[in-house]
Amino acid sequence: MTTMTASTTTPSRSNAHASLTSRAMHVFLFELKSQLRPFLIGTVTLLAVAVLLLAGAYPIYRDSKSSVEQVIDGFPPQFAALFGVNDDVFSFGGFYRFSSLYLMLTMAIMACAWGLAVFGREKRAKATDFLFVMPMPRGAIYAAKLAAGLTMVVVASLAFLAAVALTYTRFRDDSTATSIALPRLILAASSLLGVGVLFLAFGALTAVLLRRIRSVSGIATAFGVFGFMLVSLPEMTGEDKYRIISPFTWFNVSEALDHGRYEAGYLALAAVVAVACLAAGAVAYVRGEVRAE
Amino acid sequence: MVGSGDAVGTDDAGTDGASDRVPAIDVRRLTKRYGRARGIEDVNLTVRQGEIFGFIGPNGAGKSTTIRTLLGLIRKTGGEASILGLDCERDRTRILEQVGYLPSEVFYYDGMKARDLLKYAAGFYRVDCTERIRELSERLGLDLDKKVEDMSLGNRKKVGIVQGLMHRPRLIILDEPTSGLDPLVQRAFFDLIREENRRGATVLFSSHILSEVQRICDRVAIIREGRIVAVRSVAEMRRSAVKRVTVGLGDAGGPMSGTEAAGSDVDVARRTFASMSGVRSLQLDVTDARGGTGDGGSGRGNTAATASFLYEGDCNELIAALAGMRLTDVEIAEPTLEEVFMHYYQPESRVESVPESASLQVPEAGR
Repeated sequence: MTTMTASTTTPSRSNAHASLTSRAMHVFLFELKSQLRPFLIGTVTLLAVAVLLLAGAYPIYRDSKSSVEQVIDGFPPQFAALFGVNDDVFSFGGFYRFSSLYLMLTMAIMACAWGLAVFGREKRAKATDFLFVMPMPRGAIYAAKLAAGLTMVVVASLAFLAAVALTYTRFRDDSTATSIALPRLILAASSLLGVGVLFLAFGALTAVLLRRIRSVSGIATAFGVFGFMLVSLPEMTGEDKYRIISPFTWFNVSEALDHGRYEAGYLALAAVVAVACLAAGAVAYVRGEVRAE
Repeated sequence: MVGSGDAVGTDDAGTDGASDRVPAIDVRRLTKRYGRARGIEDVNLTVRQGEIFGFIGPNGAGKSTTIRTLLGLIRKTGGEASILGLDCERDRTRILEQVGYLPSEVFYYDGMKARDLLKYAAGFYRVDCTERIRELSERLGLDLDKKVEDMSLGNRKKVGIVQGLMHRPRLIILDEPTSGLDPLVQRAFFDLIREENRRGATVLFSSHILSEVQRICDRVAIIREGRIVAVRSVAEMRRSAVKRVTVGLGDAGGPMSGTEAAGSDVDVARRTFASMSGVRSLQLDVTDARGGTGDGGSGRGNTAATASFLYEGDCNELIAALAGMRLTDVEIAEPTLEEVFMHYYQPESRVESVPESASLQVPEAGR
C-alpha cells in the first residue's frame, strides 16, 4: 500500500546522501555563524591570557627571582599547591607548567560554554520543535553541531599554539627557554586541545541532559573551576591515584616538556571519557522526547 | 474503515476518489503514556489525502500528543502510525520533507530577523522557497526584516505559517493555528489553507474552537481524555440525528390543579426521558410562580417546567414518548456544533448536582 505515492517523490540513494550532506553543512555553518562572537571573544581571551603570562609575567618573575621567592616561601604548601606555584617558576619551562593550569582553565571554560551553547541552542530558545521537524535525522544534526564545536576548539587551539610559538621566539637569549625544543613546547601546549575537546564533550552532554539551561557562562565556569581545583587534589594529598578524577592532570605538561610525550594511559582515559560523553549525548539527543513548551 | 475502537457512530462521509490512494495519515491503536500519566490511548485515525481534517477536543485531551507522536517529537508507547504510507519513526526524515507543521506556540532563535530564520528553515528543503516566502509574507502582512523576538505573538505565528507552507508540503499539520491571529489575518490564513487544499495538500487541523473547525474542515475527530470518541463529517455532525429537543411542561387546563399537573408532568417527563436511550444532557428547569390573577383570581399557582436535552436515535420513539405527555410547547432543532461536541465530550461520570427547584440536569440516559 505504501508506495506508489511515496516512491514517486523518493529521491535516489545518492541524491539523499548528497542532500543529507548539504543539510549537515547547513547546520554546521549556522552554528559557526551563531557562535562567531562568543568564539572570537573566547579565543582572544585565551590568547591574551597566554601572552600576558608568558610574554608579560614570566620576564617579571624571572628578573625578580629573590623577592618572588620570599613571597612563595611565605605561602602555606597547600595554598601554593592550589595555585600551582613552586620553586620552578623562574625557568621558562617551569613558568609554562605553572601557566598551563590557568590556560587550561580558560580553555575549559570556553570549550564547555561552546558545547553548552551549540547543543543547548534550541533548548534555550524553546526552538527544539523548529529544528526537529526539519527533514534531517537528529543524529546528523548532532554530528553537524559537534563538527562546529570541534572546529572552534581546534581553531582556538591552533591560534594558541601559534601564539605560544611566537612568544617562545622572544626568549632566544634565555637558556631555560632554549633548553626546551620548540616541538616539545608545542606538544605541551597541545594539551589545551585535549582539554578543549574534553570540556566541549562535558558541555555537550550537560546541554543535552539538562531540562533547562539557565546560564551557559555560569555552568561553564563551574565546570572549569571544578577541574582547576581538582588539580591540587593529588598534589595536596600526595596520592597519585586522585589524578584519575582530575581531568587537567590527564594531560601531563611536565612529561611533554621533559620527555616529549604524554602518558598513554591518561591520554586513553581522556579519549574514552570524551567519546563516552559525546556518545551518551548523541543517544540522549536522538532518543530524547521533545515535550510541548 | 475510519474511526476508532471507541468511536461513536460511523464514518460515511463519502468517497472522493482518493480512497484507492494511501491515506495521508493512518494511525492504528496509537498509544503514548507519560509514566503513569495519560497521554493517548489506542487512537485510531485515518485521514484521507486531499481532505481538511479537524481534530477537536479540550485542552489536555491529547491533540498535541497525537500530533507530536506523528512528527516523531515524542516516541509512541505502542501502536502504529504512518504518514503518506511511510512509517512515522522509521521514515521520519522522508515524511518531514513532505510535511508542514505549525505548532500551537511558536518559538524561534533570538537575535534573528524573520528573513534569516526562514532562509535557514528553507535550507533544509530541496525546493527553492524564496518566492513563496515573499508571497506568503505579503499576503499575511509580515515584515521580514523585523527580529522575531521583537514580534508580537500574532506576528510570530505568521512566521510560523510561512515556515509551515513555504515548501508546498503535501500534508499540513496545524496545532491550534489561529491563537494570536486577529480576525483579518485569520481570514487570510483560512484562504491560504483552502488554496493549499485545492492544490492537493491534506490538512490536519487541531483546535478546541469548534466554529473554526466548522468553517474549514471536511471531517472531524473528537478526542476526549486521550481517546477518539467520534469521527464524523462536519456536515453530518451538523445535520445528524442529534437534535436539541426542548419541551414545555405545565398547566394545560386539565382537570388537576396546575401545580399538581405540572409536578406530575415533570415527574413523568423525568422518568420517561431518563429511561429513553439516546437522551443526553437532560435538563429540567422548574419554575414555581405563585400569583393570584393568572387564572382569573382562583388563587391557584402557575407551575411551568422546561425540559431540554440532546437526542440521538429513532425519531418515532421520541415522538411516541412526547405524545404521551402534556406539553405546552415543543421545539426540535439542529444543535450547534458546540452542543454536538459536548454531546460526545461530556464525561460519562459527570453528574451535576443542582437544586431541584431551579434546574435538574440528568446524566446520560440509557447508555
